[in-house]
Amino acid sequence: MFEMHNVHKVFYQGQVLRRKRYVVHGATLSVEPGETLGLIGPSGAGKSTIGKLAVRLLEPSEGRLAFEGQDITHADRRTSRRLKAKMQIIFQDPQSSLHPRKKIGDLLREPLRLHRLISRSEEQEVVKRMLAQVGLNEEVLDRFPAEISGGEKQRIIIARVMALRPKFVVLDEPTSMLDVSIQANILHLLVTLQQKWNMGYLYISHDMRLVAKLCQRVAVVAKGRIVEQGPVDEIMARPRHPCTKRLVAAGGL
Amino acid sequence: MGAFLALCFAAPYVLEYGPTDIVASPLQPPDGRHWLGTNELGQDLLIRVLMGGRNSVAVGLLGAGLATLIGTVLGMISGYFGGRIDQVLSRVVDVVIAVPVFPLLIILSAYYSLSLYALGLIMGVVGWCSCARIVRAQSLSLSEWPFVQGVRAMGASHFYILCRYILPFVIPLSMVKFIFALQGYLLMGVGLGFIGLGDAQTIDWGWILNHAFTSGGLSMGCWWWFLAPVGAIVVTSLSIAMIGYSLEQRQDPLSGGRFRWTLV
Amino acid sequence: MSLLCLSNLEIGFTVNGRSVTIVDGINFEMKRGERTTIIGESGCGKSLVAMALLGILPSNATVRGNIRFNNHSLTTVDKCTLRQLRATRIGYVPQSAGTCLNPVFRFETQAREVLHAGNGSSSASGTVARILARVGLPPGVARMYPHQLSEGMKSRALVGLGTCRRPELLVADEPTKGLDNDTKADLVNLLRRLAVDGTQSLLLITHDLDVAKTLPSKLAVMYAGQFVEIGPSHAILDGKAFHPYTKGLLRSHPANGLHPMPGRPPAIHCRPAGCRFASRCSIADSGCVLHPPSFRQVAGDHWVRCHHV
Repeated sequence: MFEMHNVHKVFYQGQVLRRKRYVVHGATLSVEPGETLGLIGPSGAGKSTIGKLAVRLLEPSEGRLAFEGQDITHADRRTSRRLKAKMQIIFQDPQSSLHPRKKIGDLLREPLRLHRLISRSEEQEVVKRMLAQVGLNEEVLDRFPAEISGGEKQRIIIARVMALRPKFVVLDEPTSMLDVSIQANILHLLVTLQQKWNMGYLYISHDMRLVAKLCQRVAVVAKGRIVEQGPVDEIMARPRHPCTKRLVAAGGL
Repeated sequence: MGAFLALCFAAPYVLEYGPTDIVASPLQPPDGRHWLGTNELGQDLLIRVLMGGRNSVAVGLLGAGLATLIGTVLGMISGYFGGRIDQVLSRVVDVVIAVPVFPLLIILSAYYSLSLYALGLIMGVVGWCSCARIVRAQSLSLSEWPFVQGVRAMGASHFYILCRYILPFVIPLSMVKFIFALQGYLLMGVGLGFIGLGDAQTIDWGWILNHAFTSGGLSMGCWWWFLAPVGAIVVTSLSIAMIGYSLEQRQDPLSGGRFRWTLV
Repeated sequence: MSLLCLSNLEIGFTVNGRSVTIVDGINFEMKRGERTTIIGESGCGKSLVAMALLGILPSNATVRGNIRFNNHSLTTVDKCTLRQLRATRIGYVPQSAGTCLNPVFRFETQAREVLHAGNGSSSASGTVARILARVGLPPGVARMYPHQLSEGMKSRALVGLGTCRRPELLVADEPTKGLDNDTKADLVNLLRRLAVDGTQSLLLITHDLDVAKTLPSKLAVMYAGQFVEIGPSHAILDGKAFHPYTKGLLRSHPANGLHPMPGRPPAIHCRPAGCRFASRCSIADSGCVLHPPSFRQVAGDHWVRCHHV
């Protein structure tokens, strides 16, 4: 469903010399509907960059991106907009992922209005359903993000993202800023929704245990390159690359 | 200060005679009828000061308003889009910011007779740079925040993001810049009038002062000719500055500001 | 001999004329040389306990009860003595190393500030080098600015600063927040080593079960402002937990199956009169809802706040 083929991302350093720095080098991966591909590596390896490239928040310097068979690397504006509804991203820090001056109700209505999915009169109904889906009740609608807890904020973000019924979602360490028990709740919610709508997830993490629990396949990233890729059980049992070995070992702490 | 300004603007509609009408005997010190006295032509000084206030403040408003507007828009565009656009605009800012506004105005008004509005326009066109830099910095940091990136990933257009996501956080900075620019340009306009340049047709405080000097007010001992306009300038300038400082303080979360527009 | 003793500690805040109690009923003792970990989720008030100990609570905070450190009552002692104690006897490693270091000063400048605090004795930069060596950082770090250091290095540097005066008690408030797993493990090992090395006692505050596991200690589980279980960490974390909250917390860990716990902690202003965990507890009954449970001893050094134990 989603494919990334030999994608490179270059950042230029310096004003005069403009040295090239490859942040992502030759990333190739694919995600099928209903499956979760884990993306794991030490910090600074480029995992978040790959995630942003996948949803085209960053433009790849080289390489090809394909969604449902179509090449989307250089999609025009109208196609891009349609695609944006189908390919979404959830970030790590719920605190900074919501506009602090907007009420929760407005934040939930925003994706609906951006894509003009429904009429104004239906908005109320749909927002209630969105809240029910993520297990929150209506009293949060009038609050501001600063007034609700981290776990609740992340649920609102999930509700916003899911309102567009995406087919592919990049999850960039969505629970690393949350407490242990809230983490379990949120991940449980994400898995439930995935099964309901058969979405493909790209789950980025630096914690091998979470990846082992949630993903069917995993890709290991080190210094911008994908060094190992395969079914999660195999990688855990027989890690080959030294970086993978380190990650598997650290998972036990 | 608000009352004073309101008075300035309401003056022509309320008072019976205009600033250029000769209404009384000249060279009179302040008395019951003419609160600030009269000048050598018999024109009521109070009215002249009030009318002059309109023009001085108008110049300041025009200049500051235009500068802030241009600065905010260009700053937002530069900071949010980054890349080539930012580089080009930053170089432009680097050049324009070096232009000294006051000397430029002196030179231009020495050659051409500039109307008040032209003065304001020039101030605006040349003085937007410091506002642009501040706005650019804020926009640049904002565009990296996840909530902006998230809504981009959702398919929001650049225009939507600039208006709803960047602008609300940039406005408080612009407001403060505007207030201080207002003060600066007001004084600049007054300064121009004082040295005899600027618009000869319209009266403003600078002109009143100039007039006071050139008509020999010092030698004649007509102290009220100087007190009035100087008093008006000082009061207005200080009040604007006070408003500016209190606005700044309100925004600053560290000093317990109430306006929490900033994110941190 | 007891080094630290918290008795009936209550911490609250006064906001807009109303007072709100966040932490209450804390009774706790720590002996010299002991290591204690307070574990709890965000909002339970654990950081407040540390701040109360150090006297760095905001001005609208109210503290009731008593905190005894050696022979000083920290709640009633004067500012001068408190500052002296803070400088030399109680060390502190704050949360978020990233924001604790002043970005415009080099590390050695800030280190010297800590070294000179309290009694103003002179120290050469040799001492800064010693601090860095103790925490395993290269001496070159002294001349660096905070932005040149990685998160892990900053955390280590702060641990070094916290322990440089060889305090009797080191309070570490979530020192591993925001670090990767390997860096976390390294930091906790460092803390453990230093606790044996120079610092006598360690009070670690965290929400991370992995970190608690790495440091064998007396574990105190905090929920909604109260301690609900206190016992040896190896026992609790290896499955011999008694309180339903502790059990639920352990089960939500990825290594134990990632089972979600229903519900959420009660809001501060509407805490129930009875057991605060009753609304989420699978074994709660009407008695739990009405009567607050008291702290009961279930083994030699294991205490639980629950009716059903």
